[in-house]
Amino acid sequence: MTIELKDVSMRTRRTLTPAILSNISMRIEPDQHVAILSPSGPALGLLIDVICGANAPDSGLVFCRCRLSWPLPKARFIHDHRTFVANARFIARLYEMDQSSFIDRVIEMAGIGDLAMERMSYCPKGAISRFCFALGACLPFDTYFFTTTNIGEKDEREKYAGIIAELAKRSGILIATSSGKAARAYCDRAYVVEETGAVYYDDMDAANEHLERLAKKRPVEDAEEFVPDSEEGSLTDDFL
Amino acid sequence: MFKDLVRQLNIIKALAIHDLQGQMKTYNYGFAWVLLEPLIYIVGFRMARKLLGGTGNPAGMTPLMYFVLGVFPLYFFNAGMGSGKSVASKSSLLYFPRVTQIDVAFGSGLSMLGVNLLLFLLLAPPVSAYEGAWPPQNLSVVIFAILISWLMGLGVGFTFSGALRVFPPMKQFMSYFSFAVRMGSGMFFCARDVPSQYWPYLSWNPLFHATELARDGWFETYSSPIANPIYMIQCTLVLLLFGLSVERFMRRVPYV
Repeated sequence: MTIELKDVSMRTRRTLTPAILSNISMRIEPDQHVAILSPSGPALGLLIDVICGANAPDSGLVFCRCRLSWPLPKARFIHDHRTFVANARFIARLYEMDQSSFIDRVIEMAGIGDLAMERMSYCPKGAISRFCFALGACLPFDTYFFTTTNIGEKDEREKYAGIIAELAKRSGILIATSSGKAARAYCDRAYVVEETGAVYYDDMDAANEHLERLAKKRPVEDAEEFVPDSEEGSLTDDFL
Repeated sequence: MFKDLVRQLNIIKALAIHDLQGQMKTYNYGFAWVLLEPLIYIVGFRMARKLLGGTGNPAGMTPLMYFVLGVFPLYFFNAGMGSGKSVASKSSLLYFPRVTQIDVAFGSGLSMLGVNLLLFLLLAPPVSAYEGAWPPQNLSVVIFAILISWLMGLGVGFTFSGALRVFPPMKQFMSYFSFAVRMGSGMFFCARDVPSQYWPYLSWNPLFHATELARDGWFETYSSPIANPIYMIQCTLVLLLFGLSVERFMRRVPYV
């Protein structure tokens, strides 16, 4: 019941300056709360793809022997010309859940009762963010995989942070992020991903220091693009 | 084992419905355009043949049904090929750890199969009734011909997906391939239109067999000299086995 990467190497393609990761090894037990920290950039995306099975590594082995969620709250599978209910029904079908009770729970958790039958492209981004989070949070996984923990609008984040904390009590949590601050709230150990491998820490402060050092090392032009997940702009990236 | 199989079938069912719902977004006029497109083809070909001085009843078949039965095997083949080829591009659905590329391809394939079958059922009976070619001589043969065209397309799509994945400019070649398939599928002609010395060359093409078999199955007045179901089954099995092997191998190769 683990997620395990053994000597995984990969690189981005179709770029002038490819991001390269080599010899990444990590082992995540289902009940652990683990952060995967890397300065913002394509390297983190590569790792997320490989862990989910959305892409194959150039070399190395990936084992996923537990029920892992998709990267929450990513929602590129959403049909924005359809309603919240129709999209929730798709997930219920895919995960063989009882449709009516699952949809009710998702709508209640996302707080979108009045928008449930609205076309999603007409709805506010905050509602979509809450909905996409609720889709995953209402399913029983061994490990919940997050790419950001900022769910919904600013005033709603406390409520959703509470839900993530609840999930963490009964399941594993995996957070792949460039924001050490966001990870520290939920995780007690971390892998910091460098070009030459992943460094394991069971101390989040030490992991954050390592992450900051890596972020400072980046060239000036890249550093200007550095936008931590905690900032507002990143919320919309995954939607529609 | 049985439980896993049921789970995988449920995943494919969910993906097929999701794909079907996604198609409504791409068709600006809903499914009306899906129906209109083949109608335009059929009427266009009929008029072109008439203008070029073709006979009113090609080889003893009624003219509109002749084209309906020429267009649909090609439609099913193209639908299957498109679904098989979809393995070459990274789908957002792959972020679900329980979904694999082959699930996405089969889901898309089933939804296209459903749309095309519905289209065939909506078009063929009224057109044949209008021309007095109803009922078909043997409907099961016609259904067999169009289903095997879909499976053949799926096999070809899987085969090409490997090349497309490692060499994306291959797309350019695909359009030439599609043109060649369209020309050689028997959409515009039947075996009896062609001198018999050319039949051995035409009969290499399994899609031409499918078109011929569909016409043979529908019309009492037409008997195809080349349609061979055994050859079609053999070709389909080989294409599917080869295509699925390519797909299996390409799972280890990262997307370009």
